Amino acid sequence: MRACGHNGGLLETFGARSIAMSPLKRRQERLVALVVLGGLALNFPLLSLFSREAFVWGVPVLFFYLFAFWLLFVVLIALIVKGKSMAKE
Amino acid sequence: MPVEILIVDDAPNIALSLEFLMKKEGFSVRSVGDGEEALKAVAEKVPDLILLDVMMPKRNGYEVCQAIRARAEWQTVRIIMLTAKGREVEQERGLAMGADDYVAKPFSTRDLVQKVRDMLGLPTG
Amino acid sequence: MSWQWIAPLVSVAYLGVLFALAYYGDLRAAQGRSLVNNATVYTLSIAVYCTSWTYYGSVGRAAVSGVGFLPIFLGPLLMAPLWWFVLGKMIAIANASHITSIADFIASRYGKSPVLGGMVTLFVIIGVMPYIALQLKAVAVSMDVLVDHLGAGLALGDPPFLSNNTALYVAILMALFAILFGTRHLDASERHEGMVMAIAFESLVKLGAFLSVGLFVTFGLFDGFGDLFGRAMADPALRRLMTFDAVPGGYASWFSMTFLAMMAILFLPRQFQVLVVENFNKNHIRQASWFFPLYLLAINLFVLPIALAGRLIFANGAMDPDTFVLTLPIQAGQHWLALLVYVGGLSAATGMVIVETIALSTMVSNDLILPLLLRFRTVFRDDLSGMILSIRRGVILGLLLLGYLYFRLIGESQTLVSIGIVSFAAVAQFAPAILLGIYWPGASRRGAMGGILIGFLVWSHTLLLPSFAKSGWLAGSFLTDGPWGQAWLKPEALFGLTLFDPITHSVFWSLLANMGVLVFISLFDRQTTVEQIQAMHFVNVFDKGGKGGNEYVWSGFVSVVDLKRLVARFIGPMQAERDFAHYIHKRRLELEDNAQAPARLVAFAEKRLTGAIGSASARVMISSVVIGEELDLRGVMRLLDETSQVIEYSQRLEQKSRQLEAATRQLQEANERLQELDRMKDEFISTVSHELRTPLAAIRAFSEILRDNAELEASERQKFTEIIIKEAERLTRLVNQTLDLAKIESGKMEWHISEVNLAHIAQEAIDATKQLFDNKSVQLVNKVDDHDLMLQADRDKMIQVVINLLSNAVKFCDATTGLVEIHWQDTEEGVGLAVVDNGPGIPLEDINKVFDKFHQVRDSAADFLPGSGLGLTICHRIIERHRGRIWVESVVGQGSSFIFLLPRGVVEG
Repeated sequence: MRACGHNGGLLETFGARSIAMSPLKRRQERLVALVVLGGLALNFPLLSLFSREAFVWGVPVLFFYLFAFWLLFVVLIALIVKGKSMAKE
Repeated sequence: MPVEILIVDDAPNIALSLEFLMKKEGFSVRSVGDGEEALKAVAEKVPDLILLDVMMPKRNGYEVCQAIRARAEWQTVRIIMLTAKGREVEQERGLAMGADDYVAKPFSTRDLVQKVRDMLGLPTG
Repeated sequence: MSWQWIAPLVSVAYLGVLFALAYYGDLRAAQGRSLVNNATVYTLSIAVYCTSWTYYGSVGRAAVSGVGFLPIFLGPLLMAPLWWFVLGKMIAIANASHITSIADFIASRYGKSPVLGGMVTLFVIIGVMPYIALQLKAVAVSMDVLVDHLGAGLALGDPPFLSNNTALYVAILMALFAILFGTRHLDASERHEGMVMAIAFESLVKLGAFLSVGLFVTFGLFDGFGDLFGRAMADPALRRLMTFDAVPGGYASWFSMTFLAMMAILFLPRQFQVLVVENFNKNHIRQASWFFPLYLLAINLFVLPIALAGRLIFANGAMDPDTFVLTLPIQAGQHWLALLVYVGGLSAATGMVIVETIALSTMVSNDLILPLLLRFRTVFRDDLSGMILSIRRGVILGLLLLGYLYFRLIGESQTLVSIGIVSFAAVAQFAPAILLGIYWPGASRRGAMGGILIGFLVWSHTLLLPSFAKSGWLAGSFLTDGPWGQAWLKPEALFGLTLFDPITHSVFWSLLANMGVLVFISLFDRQTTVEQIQAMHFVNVFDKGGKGGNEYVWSGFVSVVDLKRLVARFIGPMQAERDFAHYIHKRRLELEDNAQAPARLVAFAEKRLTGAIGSASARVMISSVVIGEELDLRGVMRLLDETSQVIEYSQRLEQKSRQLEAATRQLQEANERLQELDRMKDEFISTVSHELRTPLAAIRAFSEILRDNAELEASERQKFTEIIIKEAERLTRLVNQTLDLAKIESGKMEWHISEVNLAHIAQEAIDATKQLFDNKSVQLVNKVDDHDLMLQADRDKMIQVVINLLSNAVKFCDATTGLVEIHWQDTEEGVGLAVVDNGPGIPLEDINKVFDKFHQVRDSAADFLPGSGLGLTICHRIIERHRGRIWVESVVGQGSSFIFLLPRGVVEG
C-alpha cells in the first residue's frame, strides 16, 4: 500500500509540473502572436488602406487608426501579461 | 579384541541396516544419530572405524571428520563417509577433510562390507 | 527680473529639486525601504526613452512628414509584448552574472572576452555621441528661444539666435549633475536608486508639460481636434500630412525606423541601464510592458496637432518646427506655460544625459580603461575604488565635452531627428549578438566580434560619414561619387542599391552584414570552453543549478600526493584514496604520486572539498597547497582553449561511462538474481537427490540383506520387509509431492475452484489421517464440527493442505501425551483453520523458515517420522494460490499453531 501511495505522489508531481508549465508557454506564444499582428497591422500594405484624406469624428483616418490600434494593442498586452507570477520559478 | 565400529547416521533405517551388516561380520557396533553424539562416542572409546553420514543435524559429517583428525590420539581411526549427495565435489571434500574412503548412497551392501574389511586389513570374506 | 536670468535660474533650481529627490531615493535605499521597488516607478524610468528628441523633435518631424514621427514609438510598442520573456531573460542573466552594462553583457556572453567588451564600448561611445550632442543642442536651443523671445518679444522671421556658449554651459552643468548622481560612491551592483527616482519624476514632468501644451494648443488656440484638423485639411500645404504620402522614404523607411526603434528600446545604453541594471524586481516588467506603451501613446497624442497648429500659425514657415512646442505658447503670450514647457524639455534632456553618461561611464571604466590599467597593475596594488570613481567622473565630463564638440562641428547643420536616428542605427548593431546570444548557444565570440565590427563599419560608412559630409566636414564628393571615386562604394547607394532612403539603406546593409558574418563565422567556428560555459549560462539561465560556469582554473605546482593528503584531511584518507583512484581511473590518467597534478585534478579536488567545507574554504585550502600564482584571465582562457577539446571528450566519455555503469549495475543485479535462482535450483536438486537417496539406500540395503541372509528369522525378515515397504511409501510420497510442487511453481497445476465448506474439508482430512494418529496414540480433537465456513477454493488441494498440517503436527507430538486440535477461524480477512499441537514448538529463529522446502529435514531430530519436508511448502503454495495467508505461532515447549486464512471472495480459476 505504501508503494502505491508513493507512486501516486510522483504522478501528481509530474502532472502538476506539466500543468504549471503550460500557461507560461501559452502566454509566450500569445505575446509573439501579438507582435506579429502588430507588425502586420502597422506596416504596408494594411497601413496603406488608411492613408486617405478623410476624417473619423473629425480626426484624420490614418491618425485615428494608428492611435486606436495603439490603444487596442496596449489593452491586449495588459490582458495577456496579467495573471500570476511571470518568472519560471 | 573385536573390531570396534561406530555407525553415525541420522536416518534410523539406514543405521539399522548398517548395524546388521557390521554385526554379521562379527564387529562390535555402536550407533549414534548425530555428529555431537558421534564425537562423544569417540571420546568414550576410540573405534577402529567409523561409518559416517554427511548430512546430519547438529554437526555434519565433515565437521566430525575434521574434529577427529585434529586430535593426535585419534589418528588411527579409519573413516568411511556415507552420503546421499552423489556429486564428486562432495567426495573430494570428504577426502580432503580426512576421510579414508567414500561410499555413495544407495550403496551395495557387499561392496561396503568389502571396503570395511579392506580398510581394517582383514582378508576378503 | 529679466527672462535672461529666469531661464538659467529655473534650470538650476529644477536640477536642485531633482538632486534632492535622488538624494532622498538613495537614503531610502540605504535604509532598505526602497522607493523604486515599484512597477510604476520602473515604467516611468523607462520613459527616459523620450528625450528632448521626442519632446521637440517629434513635432518638428510631424510638421513636415505627418505621421512619420511615429515609428520611433511604434517600435517600443511592438517590442513591449516581448519584454515579458526577452527582457525577463536578459534581467535573469544580468542578475546571475552581475552584469552592469551592455558591453559587459556582450563580452560576458562571448567567453568574457575583454576585447569584445572594449570594442562594444568604443562603438557605443561613437554611436551615442550624436545623441548626447542632440540633447545639448535641444537644451541650448530651447533656452535661447526662451531667453530671446521672452525677452525681446517673438521676432518673426528671425531664426533664433544660437549661443554656442549656452550649449557649453549646459554641457558642463549636466556633467556636474551626472557626476553628483552617478559617481558619489561605488556600488557593486551599479544600481542607482536615487537616479531612478529622479528619472521617474522627470518622466512625469515632461509628460505633464507636453500634455499641457498639447491641450492648450488644441483646445486653447483651436476649437478641439475637429477644428484643428479641419483647418489643416483646408490648407493645401498641410493636406498631404494627413496621409502616408508625407512620410519620407515611404513604407520601407517606416518599417526600418520601426525596426530600429524596436532594437533601440532594448539596446540603447540608457535603456539597458534602466530596464536591466536598475530593475528591482523582474515582475515589474509585466506592468511596464503595457503601461510604458500607454505612456508613449499619451506623450505622442498631441504631437501632430501641435505640429499642424505650428504650421497654421507660423504660416510663413520661418519658425523652426523643432521649437513649435515652445514658440506656440510664447506666441500666445502664455509665458509661464512656455517656462513649464522649457522645464519639461530640460527634464527630457537631462534625464537622457544623466542615465546615458552614467551607463557609459560604467562601461568605459569597466570595459575599456580598467582592463588596460590592470595589465600594468603593479602600479595599482592598493585600493582601486578611489581611482575608479575618478575615472568615471572624468569619463562623464569627457563624454559631455565630446558631445559638445560633436554638436559644434556637425550638429548645427542637421535636424534633431536625423541626428538621433544615427544613434539608433548604431545600437541596432548589438541586437544580433545579444538576441542570438541568449537563444542560440552556437553564436561564437569570433562571430559576434566579426558581426559587430562589420556592422559598425557599414554603419559608419553609410550613416556617420555621410552626416560628416553633409555638414561639410568631409568633401561632398564622398557622397556624390563615392570614396576614391568608387561609385559602387557610394555611402548612400552601396553596390548601386538606390531603392531605399539613407536610413533604410544603412540598416539593411549593416544588419545584413552583421548578422550574416555572425551566423556564418559561428557556424564554422569552434568555441572555447569559456565560451561554451558562458553560452550555456546565458541560454539556459532559467535552468536551476545549470552548468556551473564559475569553476576556477588553478595553475602552479602541487603534487598528486599533496593534493590527496589535503583532501584526506577533510573527507578521510580512505575516501580520498577511493575518490582519486576513481577519478584517475575514469579519465585513464596515469599519475605517479609525486607527479604534478594536472589542473583538472586540482579542480576536481577543489570540487570534492567544496562538497565538504564549502566553496570559499575549499578555495582557500587549495590555494594553500598550490605553489605558484593563480592564472590571469588571459592564461585561463589560453589554457581552456587548449584543453577544451579534451574536456569535451572527457565529458562525453563520462556520460558514456555513467550509462555503462548503470547498465553494468543492472546486469550485475540480474546476474546475481540468476545466480541466486541457480543456486536455489542446485540446492533443491541436491536436496531432492538426498531425500530420494536416503529411502533408496535403506530399501537397497535391506533388500540385499534379505537376499544375502536366507537364514534370517521370520520376525526379523518381517521387520526388514516392513521397513522396505515404508521407505518405498515415503519415496512415492516424496516423488508425488515434488511433482506437485513443481507443477504449482511452474503454474501447470490445474485448479478446480468451487464452493466448499472448510468444515467438511477438515473432516475429510481428519478421516484420511486417522491412522497416523492412532498409530502414535496422539489425540485429535475436531473443534470445527459443523461450523459453516463457506468459500471458493479447490476442494482437493484444501484437503491436502489440512492433511499436510495434521501429519506435520502428529509428527512432532509425543506419543501418548500428544494432543492436536483443529479450530475454525472467521475474521475480517477471511475464513480458515488452525491446527494446534502440543509438540516441542519452533524456535523463533526458525519460525520463518518452516515453509521452506525440506526445512524440517535439516534440523529436526524428529526425522524418524515419515515426511518429505515438502508438505508445508506445498501448503504454503496452495494457500498463496488462493490469495490467502498461512503462518505459524509457536512457543518453544508449549506447541505450535499452524493457521491459514482464505479470503471469502471468488478466486478466478
